[in-house]
Amino acid sequence: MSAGIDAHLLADSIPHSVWVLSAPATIDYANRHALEHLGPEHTDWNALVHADDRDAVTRDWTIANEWECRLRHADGSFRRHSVRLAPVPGGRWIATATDISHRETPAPPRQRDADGPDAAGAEEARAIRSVVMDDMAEGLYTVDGAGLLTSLNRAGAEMLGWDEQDLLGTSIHAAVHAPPPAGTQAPEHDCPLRENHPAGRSGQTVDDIFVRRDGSTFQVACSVAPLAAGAATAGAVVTFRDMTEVRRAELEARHDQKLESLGRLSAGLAHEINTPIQFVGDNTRFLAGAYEDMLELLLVYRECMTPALGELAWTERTQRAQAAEAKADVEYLATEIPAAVSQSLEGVDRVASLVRAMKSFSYKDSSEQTYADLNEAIRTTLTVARNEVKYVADVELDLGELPDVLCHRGDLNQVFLNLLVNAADALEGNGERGEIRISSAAVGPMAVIRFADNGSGIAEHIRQSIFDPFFTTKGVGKGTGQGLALARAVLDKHGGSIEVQSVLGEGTEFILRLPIDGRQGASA
Amino acid sequence: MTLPRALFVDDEPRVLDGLRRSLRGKRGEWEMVFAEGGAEALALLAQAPFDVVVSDMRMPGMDGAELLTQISKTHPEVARVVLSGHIEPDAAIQVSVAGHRFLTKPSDAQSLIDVIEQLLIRTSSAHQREARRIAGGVRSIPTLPEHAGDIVALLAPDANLSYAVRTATHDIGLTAKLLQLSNSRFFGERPRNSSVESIVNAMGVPMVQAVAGAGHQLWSPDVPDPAIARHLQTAWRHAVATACLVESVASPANRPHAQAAALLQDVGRLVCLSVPAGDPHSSIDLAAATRDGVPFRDVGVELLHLWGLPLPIVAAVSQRDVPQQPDASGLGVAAAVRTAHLLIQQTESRDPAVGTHEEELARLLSHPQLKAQGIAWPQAAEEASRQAGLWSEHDKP
Repeated sequence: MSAGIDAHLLADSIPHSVWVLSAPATIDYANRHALEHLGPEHTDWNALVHADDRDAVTRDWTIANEWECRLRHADGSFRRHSVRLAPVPGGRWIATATDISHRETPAPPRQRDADGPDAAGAEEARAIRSVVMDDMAEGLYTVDGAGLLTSLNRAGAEMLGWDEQDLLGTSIHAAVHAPPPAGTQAPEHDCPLRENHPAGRSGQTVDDIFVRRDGSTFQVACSVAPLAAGAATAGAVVTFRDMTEVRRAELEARHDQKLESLGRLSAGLAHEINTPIQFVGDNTRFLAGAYEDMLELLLVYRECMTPALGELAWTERTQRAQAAEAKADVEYLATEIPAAVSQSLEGVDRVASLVRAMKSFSYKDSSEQTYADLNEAIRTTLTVARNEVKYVADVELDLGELPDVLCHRGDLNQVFLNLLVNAADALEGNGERGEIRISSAAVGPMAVIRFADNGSGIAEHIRQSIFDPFFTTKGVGKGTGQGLALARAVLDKHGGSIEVQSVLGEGTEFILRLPIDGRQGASA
Repeated sequence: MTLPRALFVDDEPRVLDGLRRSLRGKRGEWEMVFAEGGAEALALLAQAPFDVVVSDMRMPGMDGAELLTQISKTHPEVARVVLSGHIEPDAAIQVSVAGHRFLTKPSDAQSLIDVIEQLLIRTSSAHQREARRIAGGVRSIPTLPEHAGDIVALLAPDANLSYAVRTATHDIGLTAKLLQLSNSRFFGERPRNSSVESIVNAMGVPMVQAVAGAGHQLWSPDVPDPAIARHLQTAWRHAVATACLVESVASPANRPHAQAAALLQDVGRLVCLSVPAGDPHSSIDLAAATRDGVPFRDVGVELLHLWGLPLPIVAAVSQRDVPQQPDASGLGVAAAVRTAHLLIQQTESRDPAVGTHEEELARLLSHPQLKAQGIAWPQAAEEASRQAGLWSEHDKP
């Protein structure tokens, strides 16, 4: 590993918590990340550990050196961390902790290398570097001001398929951003991981795609921190995480949610179509019969008019015509035929507008945002979900003047549907008919859309969980608990927000805020 | 004579308008009344008697299932038809215990007319009103207490298809309910003579569980009178044995209907003796096999007719105690069931409530179709009886 970098500087630039502990668990040193995220006031490391996890940690202290446990953050919350302890000379330990609260499933512990850090005669700084760098699950590399690799940890080497030795002193950009099979490499000054150096911003996460030695690619989330090494030009520490699994899981969850709402919708849509088809069919059959009756009558009229009847008295002719009219029930036909025709056309219109709404609702987003009329999107969603709502609630629309909003329309349709169906579910079984109010308005640069119901409200203790994936209060088979999680993900993607206000017994309101001109910097 | 009266209920006035027009040709034969909701329908029913009610399922306020359930209690004599645009089988099962017949939207006027006209047919010349009243109130046929464990096991998450087939083909209520549903449009078109086994295979375990579960919920936990319980056990074993034997007696084409008819031969007895016992005015005469003066058999036939089971099954059940003179060209369903029934009368699974009719049995066994098979019928009957005995014993505590 390249020397000449101060160990504390290195430790402070790492976006994970690092401590040096002496027995029993006294904190001798904490890096900047640890101080910022877990608070500066601690002296006893065990006090950071969640009370329920403390026993396991102290019990395993001697036999294991890697756990998952909850650590208290400066804001008072507990988050899951992957914690490692490594002994260093002088009877001390180096503890590192990585926040894994965002991960859905705990990762299996990585195999420990039997060699461990080179304890004999090594200085503390070296030990910190070895432990922190080589034992962390994330890939990590350091570059100098010219973008040349100065070190690469073991996880990074494994992920990329390169040995540290192969790349030392070469351009890392050339290695991880190798040109696609049919194309040229992006110039180095466009490299997203280099951009950050001059600005000196740290802690930024960049989504990127890395190329392995064998040419295959994988999705990564990178975090870039500037690193000043003496008088030399600023280098950087880059940590990266393989996001392939995470992205796949996200995609699957979203797909599941779409299938779920699709399945539910299709049943409702079938009903909305079958009903008009029933009466259009009945009316058409009636009209076919009515036509027969009318034709028969017409033929009698024609016969009455024919010269062949010759001398037949006028009274006789009128009598025949009147008898035929009575048989055909002309009065009835005269009132019913126009009604049957107009109701049939109304039925056809209903089906047609439903099919149009389905087409508009299932609008397939391109990767680019487009300008869309959100009021129209709300109306469309209401049309396709009519059958889900109409038995439990009246919907009141209060749609204000709204300029077209730069957005992913298909995703927002899905969000509107989820909120509408949730509101309907909240009102179901409440005994009396509920009310759902949807309003929209432009407030400054934001479009604000509200979905309110007068249902039973959301209890405070579950209110904070409702946006979590897989959280659901619905019965088995009724919901997968993805609806609101997806809504939040979509709003995040738009640079917007979703918030809930609820009063028990009075109702719940979801408030969506979307920047009218799209996410800042999204077009960059 | 007054015209039969039909009541149509739908929350969509356009549908009612359409029905009014397309059924206009029937105005000389039926009196038709239209209601836009459950409450209005119940008010109309309270004013004057109806013969048939045709209702939508999903309606605001009182929905169709609620309305039909209410009608089954307060006006059991009214035949109940569901006309729903909901296509999900879940919805079908939810209403399967509320209605007698099920039609999906869109249905053409002729299908609706056919169903209504069928429901206006009188199956019992002497006791039509009473038979319809008793049979019409039945929403689910209970199993005997000693077989309830089979239904509970069927509802378990790990129940498999072969277990579902075995349970359904031995349970009178489940067999009847599955045949009722499979003959409705909800489950798609099926061959007219599907066996219960093929219905179960086509529906799949979860659906059969849902059907069984829906019926199970309605059973009263009351323990029947011991004399009645013994009486029913005997009839049940007799039905299972006959169904087992008739598989060999009936021709392959008639087998599905014959098996169903054999199992359902005493469904009227089961219904009369076990549902609903709450009415203090109902009188049961075990010796005469009547309830409120109506023969059990008439109630059973009326029930199968109301539920829309295939005519050969209904006819075979109705003629079980009628001497048969089958044509030499083929035995037919009714004579096959009668023959198997009389054969079982010679065994331990006999039903002492009815006779043995040896002469008729000998004549039936000399039928060319049975002689050609070269089966030793008395032994086959003994074996069927033994099987039924095992089945009846296995659940006893």
